[in-house]
Amino acid sequence: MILEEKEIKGLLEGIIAENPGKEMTVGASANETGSTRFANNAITTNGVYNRLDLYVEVTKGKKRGIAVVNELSPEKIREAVGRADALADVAPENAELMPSLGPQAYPQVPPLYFPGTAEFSPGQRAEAIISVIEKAKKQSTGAAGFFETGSYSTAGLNSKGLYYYLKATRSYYSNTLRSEGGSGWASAEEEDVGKMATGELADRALKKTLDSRSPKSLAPGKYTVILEPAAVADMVWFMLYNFAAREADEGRSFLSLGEGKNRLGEKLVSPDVTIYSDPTFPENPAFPVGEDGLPLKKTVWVEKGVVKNLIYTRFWAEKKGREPVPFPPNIIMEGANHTLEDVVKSTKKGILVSRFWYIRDLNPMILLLTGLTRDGVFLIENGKVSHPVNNFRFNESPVNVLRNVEMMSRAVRAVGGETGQSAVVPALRVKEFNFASVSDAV
Amino acid sequence: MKELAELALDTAKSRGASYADIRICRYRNQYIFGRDKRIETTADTEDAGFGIRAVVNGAWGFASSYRLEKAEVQRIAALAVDVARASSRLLRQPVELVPEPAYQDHWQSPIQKNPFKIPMEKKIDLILKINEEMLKVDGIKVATAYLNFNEMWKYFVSTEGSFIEQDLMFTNPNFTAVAVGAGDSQTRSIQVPPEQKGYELIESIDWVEKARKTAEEAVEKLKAKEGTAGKKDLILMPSHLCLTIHESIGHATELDRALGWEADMAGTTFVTPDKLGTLKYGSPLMNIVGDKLLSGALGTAGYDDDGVKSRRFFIIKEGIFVGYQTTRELARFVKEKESTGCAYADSWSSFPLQRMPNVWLKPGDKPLTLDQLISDTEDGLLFDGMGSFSIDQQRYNFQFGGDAVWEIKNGKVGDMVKNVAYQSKTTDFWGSLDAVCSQEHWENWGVFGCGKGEPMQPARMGHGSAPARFRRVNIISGGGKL
Repeated sequence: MILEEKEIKGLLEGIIAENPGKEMTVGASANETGSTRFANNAITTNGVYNRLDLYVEVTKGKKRGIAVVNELSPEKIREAVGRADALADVAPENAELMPSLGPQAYPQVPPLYFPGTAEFSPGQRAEAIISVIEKAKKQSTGAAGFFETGSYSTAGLNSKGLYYYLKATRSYYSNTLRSEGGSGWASAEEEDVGKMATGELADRALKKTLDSRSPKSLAPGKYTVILEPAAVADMVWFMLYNFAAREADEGRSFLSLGEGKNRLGEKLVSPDVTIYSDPTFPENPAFPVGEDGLPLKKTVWVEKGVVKNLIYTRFWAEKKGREPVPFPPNIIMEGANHTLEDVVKSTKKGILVSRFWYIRDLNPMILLLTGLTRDGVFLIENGKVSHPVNNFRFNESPVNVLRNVEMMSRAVRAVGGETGQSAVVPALRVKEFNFASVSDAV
Repeated sequence: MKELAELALDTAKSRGASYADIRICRYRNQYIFGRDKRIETTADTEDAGFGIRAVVNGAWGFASSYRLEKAEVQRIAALAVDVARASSRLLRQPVELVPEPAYQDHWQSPIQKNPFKIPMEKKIDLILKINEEMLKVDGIKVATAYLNFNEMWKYFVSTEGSFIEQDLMFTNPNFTAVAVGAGDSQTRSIQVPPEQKGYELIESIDWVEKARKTAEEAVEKLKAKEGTAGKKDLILMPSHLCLTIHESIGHATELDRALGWEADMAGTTFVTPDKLGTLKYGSPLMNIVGDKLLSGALGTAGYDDDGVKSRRFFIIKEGIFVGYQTTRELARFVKEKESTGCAYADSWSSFPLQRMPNVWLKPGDKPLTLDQLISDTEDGLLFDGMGSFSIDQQRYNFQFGGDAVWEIKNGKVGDMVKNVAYQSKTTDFWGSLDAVCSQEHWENWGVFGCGKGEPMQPARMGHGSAPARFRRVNIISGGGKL
């Protein structure tokens, strides 16, 4: 079960009060999650999970120790404080350690907690899955998937008075429908399980699996592609994973310009591309708390193709005379007033990519990534889906993807198939996307 | 503890469970991270709780909690039964567990020195010393390091009468040098594998010497020429082959994938059950063992999380696929009468999955040294350590880079090259294996953080091998400008 604010605040205040004069940060998080897995049109596993963590950080000047336990007895809490204290004693001074922050003001974010999601039962998950499996069986396909619902709370308090408490729910649903020679996938994340359209997600996966049967061979090479939002989400997240200012300044990133300079302010990608993060964004709200308890605000990363912000840790920001910019809690990429169907219709020849899989860095200095297509790849000819084709491995950079954008759909919330992270992104038509080899996988 | 475990199982049984087990676990983790002669993190983490599995009407239910108290144990046991009952509405085939004797046993990792009893100052000193040694090398701009120690205590009790207690210990060191210059940056890590050992692993290494050599190689890599695309013979060192075995054999021969149980996330496999005993996976030199017994390897244990006693079995024999990794639930789907002991849960709070044991390549039968193998190679590349890695969801198409790669020309190791990877299809690649060095070159490597399942569970497993050669493999270049 999760911890309510009164309970958690009292607990954290008690720990600070019991250790007067000590510079400390304490935090607690708890969750109760239920998840059901299914495969081959039957439930395989079903479980309920309760977890708790108590985090204790003791700072002595430029020295710090951290201990985490998952019991809340007074003895165990004292043990955790003692461990963190002892670690701070033996730790050498860390010149980059930043002092604790004082109280912060956090932006008001849209509701993140929905009782119906917190109380969603194994039986309710089973009901939804039964409907999906009935759809799958009617078309002689096999459904596999995962449905998770849960609630969690987290709080932090330090001896300088910084305090936050957050309570949220999350539901995540993913399904893969497989047919003879075809495969389709769809997934979604919602704070309110009432918005989780499992039937619609099953229909999407069903259409993909039926349409992707009997793919024709297509050779690797550079092609115009239409990346569906799930594929775009992965590309944009991978770019932002590598948006750290320090790595750029140290000459270790695709954003490095040498001699301690970076690409901040440079036109990096197409002028049609604007990417930002914002925990208050209604379609994809997020916790507004970042590094060391810093508030997360709307941050524009790329505006009309120009790099507007990089991630600055507190230390690096101070060293460079800038404000810290924490890691993004979500991604919003502006789209255009088109549907995905419009994008397909206006494409003379191209390849429609449903999602990506197993993406890894190949060369971080040019942000070259490798990965594969999965669950539906289709040739588009004269504005229509012509036929399914084989899967491919790509060796390509998200920077090139965003440079070569030709057309966008409206932005929608999607979950990256590889990253598993939500983003509000459009589908993109991109020229000269590099498929390096063919995969026989279905 | 025994009393609480029995209470859980009695509760589950009285509510209708035909089978139940409980795992009570306590984990401790110590993590020290340093960068550039500074210690950034000293952390000590503890995590304890229990998870109960129950079978009702032929379906699994699972529930877990961190509160190890009598009333909570009863509540969670009842919840596991309720969850199983909800699942049984959508049952295709009832859960049937292949037989396994009941055991009352205690097993522990054969460690010599408990890392948690080694003073923290000593570990900090080591990190700082290695940082310092790396930064002495001209061209090294960043040196990072961590030491990670994991202690795992598990108590498994089942309604079939098993009472199994296990103590496992893992040591994972990592030291990396980063060279920066001329618009490029390259890394090189000290090649020491994580193992199921104590602090004796740390004390067995001359770290300072390795730190200097590794840092020099990072600079060499920075200055190296770009690798070029084409076909080359490959000599893969055990530190590298580890991940290739893991991805192209280990995951491909998991029975849950073959049955479609992981289709939604991790994927399926080209190694379908109809190929058991007939699929030509690779050359006759290829002998792959699944193994939970190998001393010091990351996947070794006394028993798995089904309570199955550890064993060793062939996965591939003389190039032919002969056996899947299984659990008590899965074994019957390939008509096996017993499990190969591959059930594992990353936490007390997780449902056990079929996870990879140690999967390793047997050394060659005939005497063959690394020097002999190199001198017998005209036009090749030698890969050491792990780099970029990616494979499709059915384990056909893969692409792997290395931590360091050298040219081999006319039987000699030549210059280092950078930004190269090899790309192949699993059976083509293993079919091109034409030499494996002999036993004296066999090394016990492993993967410390392999993810599988929904929700994702990390696991560790060993992948040992001797250096091996693969003929005419496709090389790709990852160089270029932005």
